Amino acid sequence: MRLTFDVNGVGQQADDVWPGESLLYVLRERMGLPGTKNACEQGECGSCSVYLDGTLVCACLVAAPQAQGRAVRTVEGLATDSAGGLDHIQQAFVETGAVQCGFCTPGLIMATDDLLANTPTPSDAEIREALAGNLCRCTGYEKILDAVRLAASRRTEVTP
Amino acid sequence: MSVPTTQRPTGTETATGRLGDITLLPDGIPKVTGDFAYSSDLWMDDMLWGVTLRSPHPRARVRSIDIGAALATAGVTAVLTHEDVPGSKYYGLEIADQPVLAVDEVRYTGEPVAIVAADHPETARRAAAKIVVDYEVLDPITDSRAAMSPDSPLVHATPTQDHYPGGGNILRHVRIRRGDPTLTADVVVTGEYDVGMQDQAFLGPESGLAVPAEDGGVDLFIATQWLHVDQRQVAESLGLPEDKVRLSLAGVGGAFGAREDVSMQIHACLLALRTNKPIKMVYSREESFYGHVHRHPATMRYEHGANRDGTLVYVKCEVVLDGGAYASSSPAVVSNAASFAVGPYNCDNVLIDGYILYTNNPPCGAMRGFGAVQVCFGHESQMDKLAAALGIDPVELRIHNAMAEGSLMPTGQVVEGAAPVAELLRRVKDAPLPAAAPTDSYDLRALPGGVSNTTHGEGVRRGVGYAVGFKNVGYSEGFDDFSTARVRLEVVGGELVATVHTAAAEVGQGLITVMAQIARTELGVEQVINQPADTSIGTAGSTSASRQTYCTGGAVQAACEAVRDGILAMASARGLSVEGAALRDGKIVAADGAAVASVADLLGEEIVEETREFHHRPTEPLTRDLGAPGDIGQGAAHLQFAFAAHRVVADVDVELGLVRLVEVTTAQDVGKALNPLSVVGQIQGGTTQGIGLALMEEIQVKDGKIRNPSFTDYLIPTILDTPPMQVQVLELGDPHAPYGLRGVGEPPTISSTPAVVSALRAATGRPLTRVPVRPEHITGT
Amino acid sequence: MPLPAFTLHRPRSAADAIALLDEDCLAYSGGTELLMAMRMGLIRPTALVDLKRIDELNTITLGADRLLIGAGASHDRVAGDALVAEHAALLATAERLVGNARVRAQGSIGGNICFAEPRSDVATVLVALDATVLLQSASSRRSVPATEFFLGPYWTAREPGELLTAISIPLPAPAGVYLKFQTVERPTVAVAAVALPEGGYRIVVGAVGDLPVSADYAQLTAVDAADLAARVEPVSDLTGSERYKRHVTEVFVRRAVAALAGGR
Repeated sequence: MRLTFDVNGVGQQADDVWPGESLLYVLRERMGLPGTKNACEQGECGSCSVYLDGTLVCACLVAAPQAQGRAVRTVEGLATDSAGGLDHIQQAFVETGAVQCGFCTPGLIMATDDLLANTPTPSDAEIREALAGNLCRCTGYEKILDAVRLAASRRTEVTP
Repeated sequence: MSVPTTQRPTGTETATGRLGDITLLPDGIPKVTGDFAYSSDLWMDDMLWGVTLRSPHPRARVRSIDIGAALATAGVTAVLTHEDVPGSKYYGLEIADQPVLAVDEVRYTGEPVAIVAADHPETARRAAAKIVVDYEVLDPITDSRAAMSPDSPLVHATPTQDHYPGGGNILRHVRIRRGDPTLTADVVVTGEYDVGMQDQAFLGPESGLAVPAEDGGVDLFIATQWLHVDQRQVAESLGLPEDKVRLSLAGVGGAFGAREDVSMQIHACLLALRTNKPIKMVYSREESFYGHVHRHPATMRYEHGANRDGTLVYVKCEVVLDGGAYASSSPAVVSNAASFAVGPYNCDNVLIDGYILYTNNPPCGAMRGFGAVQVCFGHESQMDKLAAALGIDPVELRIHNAMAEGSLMPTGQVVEGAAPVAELLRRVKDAPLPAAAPTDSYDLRALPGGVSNTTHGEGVRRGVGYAVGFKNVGYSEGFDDFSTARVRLEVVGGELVATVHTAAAEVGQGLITVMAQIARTELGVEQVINQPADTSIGTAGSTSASRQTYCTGGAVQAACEAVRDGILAMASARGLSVEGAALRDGKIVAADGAAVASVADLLGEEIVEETREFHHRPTEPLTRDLGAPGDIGQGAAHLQFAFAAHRVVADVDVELGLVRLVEVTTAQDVGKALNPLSVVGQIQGGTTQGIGLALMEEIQVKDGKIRNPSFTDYLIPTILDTPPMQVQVLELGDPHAPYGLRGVGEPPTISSTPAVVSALRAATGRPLTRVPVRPEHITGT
Repeated sequence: MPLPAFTLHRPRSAADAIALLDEDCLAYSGGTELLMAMRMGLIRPTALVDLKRIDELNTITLGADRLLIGAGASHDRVAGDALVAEHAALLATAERLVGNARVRAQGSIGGNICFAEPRSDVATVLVALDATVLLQSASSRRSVPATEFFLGPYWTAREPGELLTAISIPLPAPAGVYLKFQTVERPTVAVAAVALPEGGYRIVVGAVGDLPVSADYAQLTAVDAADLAARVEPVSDLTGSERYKRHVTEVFVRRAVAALAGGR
């Protein structure tokens, strides 16, 4: 089938998509957007988190035809306007040492983006709850917490 | 000496730090934008997908393989079996006992039998399902004790007796004897302890891209821990000279030991050469659980004898490690396990037997900690038990027996340099404890089980536990795991630029950051480019054994020094006085601090480039247990030791057997923290893997089959499972090591597990002799 | 990993959807369970009917004596809805705790109960609330009590040609506590303890056995946790042995009763 959908604000088209392909597969293998990751493809690890019409979903559990006519936003679409190319969450992850191998990082950044949009000043307990579905094997999560706190503090500076 | 225990960004972090600065990873930006190319992200026009058919049986004879239907499937370009392996049909890290593709027998569930290339991964999978393999299913050998029996059927009909004569399914038996273990002691404590099979569970799946080259060779882009050892095995199996097999490091999504063995490297190259097309292979998560080695499960029997005052008189220990179907790095793992079986304590009389076996269970090999993890659980559990029997505080007992500089290992090796066992224990003991849990708290997230346990603190008890452990850094027993680095200094666009090239695998630990810091510090240059790692330069050795900063850092330092000597020679040739000069901020700076010349001006169009190998001082093999009297496993087998201690505070819901870790404090000596941010990150990450082994991680194997090959049922710690982690970093330099550093990556995984269990014992009074601890062990139901 | 080929229908009305449903053509809402089952080869539908464009399945409305929850409403939607919070707070509590953030965002309440994974928060609470499910086929509509809807693991009373359109909660709905515990993504045991509007109490134990077990008591003091735990048939698996799960069930029943008695 031909899949027509909006990806990171741009209308896109993918041809010869198998109905059984996941949105994750289409993004990575057909749209040239490998930023969303394939750590488990079972909805367990959170590395494939994307926005589908503004809702955070596991792209591995979305059948590609589901995305027909809908808007998808991936990690590649986060840094749209800030100078230097990084949004404040991405910047915070880099600065705090929250990135080691980095495979979990895109999913975590998307989940953080979703968290801060809904809860701009989350407590540590709220951060842990929101990120509970994102697995990281390298960091032990401490610096990820630092990153989220830092991003939250900067967000409130920018948008009073 | 210590860095602050909480690291808040101060705004001074830069991407251009020198040694000791908090320095940001150069690959941090592409990793947060999604641009970083991991091995599973690689893509090439025209590429085909490779898929592996695996054995469903833990043990079977392969009578025939019929690939006809698979090959006839539309979209399929190749189906290969062992008959298509042109070179060596077997490979292996230490012993070449592992078939590239099964020949006449399969020895573990998941063993590769055939490979398929097709134009879509799903086509390849469906075609693989059409391959008909005629198996004669045999009874698998899955019980360790049974496998050790001389009557047991053999996992390998012709075991490689010449390498490690152990007899039958015993791949290696390491014996260590020192002093007189028959002495009597006032108090004797025995125990049996078990460690389950842990998995490295890196997030980035096994993956890579093999591209056939015009010269009849192949270029392989791969996530791995050691490019050159992969190259050797690929070349041998392809029957090609090594210069026709070129490997480049693709982005690695974590390793932790699981990428030391070949997984898809040879397969992808075979398919690439057969189809003459690029071949991409990516394992699914389920396949990944079958596709790499795991941590050796262990059963241990210990006997500690001590005097009333707590002084250890003797330690006897038997460790049995289940190596599974193929050797991998098992012989080295059991050597480590035996060497570290007593723990970082003085004990003149030891009797240690370490066995590692072949079975038809999943193959086991390297995982962060490499044998020291298992025995640390054993010896630390024993120290707690001994403390209770003696009526001595468990930390005081450990301090009383603690190793120090000059202590002797069970192998007779003298521990050179700082061995701050007592200090590490005191630090974790003296660190302030978290506040007691409020009894009227209804914040579910603060209770054992968190949001998923929506009760309110009934039956919750708090326990505090301690443990200390150590391990070697670098390869042991005489192995020369040297590293190579090439450093180039030149002027580009008016700016001084250093380029560093090694074959070292960056797997997320921050090695490339440190290499750049070294170059900046040694050459006084700000702009450093890290050239991608590949086999066009000599080997850097493995990213394992916590050795890269030591060995490749050492190589980079040596190459920088040679470059500096070259610069100084150039200056000297122009009549400048460079006695005792150094390079700083782009200048040659004399011993008195005066700037002598600008390096950029001096260089002009010239390039100074040097390649150096770094060989650490040699180690000795343990005297081989060849059965002759007097062979007692003695020798200065290890390059360097690294120590860490943990304290764990845990709340336990004793009715449910649920655990919530309240806080973990780690104290570790890193010699010198070259990048403080990375050092703390490694310690926190390693501690978390130790927590996982203590509480939740186990590959459950029944009759040779893995019951939980998915993240649904193989649980790794989430952010709800990890507590706040305090880290105290000591920098007691090692005079023999570059910059005085000690390897960092493994010690935090070693003492963390027993510290958790120690806290649970304190809270529950239960003996808890097995990890991972299950809720049933705590409730006793 | 792609799935076997299937046709995707995207009707705009429940009637159109119903016309398509049969053994080989399955309803598809969030897909969090469905796609996993298809990927594992457990089910092989030739077609899927995407329900997400059918507005009537996504409404939550208050009737005279009932609260109607559209089957297509996501867990997040149900958890955050003002009507649910006011009239059936226990359901909102349970929905807030389902799975993880992505499952709650993507998965639907109707999909959850039709898939009938035995380890279910939702099933437990629906039994406590005396809920009924509304099933509609081309020729009929029927209302089935939750206790008769769940027949076993992954097995419900829904016929292949039927669409589950809504869940009906009779009002006033019982209020109480919902406790559960889990170490993986699904609960090991879930207990709903409620005060019935007509007097008396109900304890429902779910997730630990194949079906929720429900018992009504005139007084809370009459609840014998050990007895109730003995009536459950726990399934031994990687999260615990039968014995351990029975023990945990007893603990949770006891705690639920204590919480309810304490007015929490």
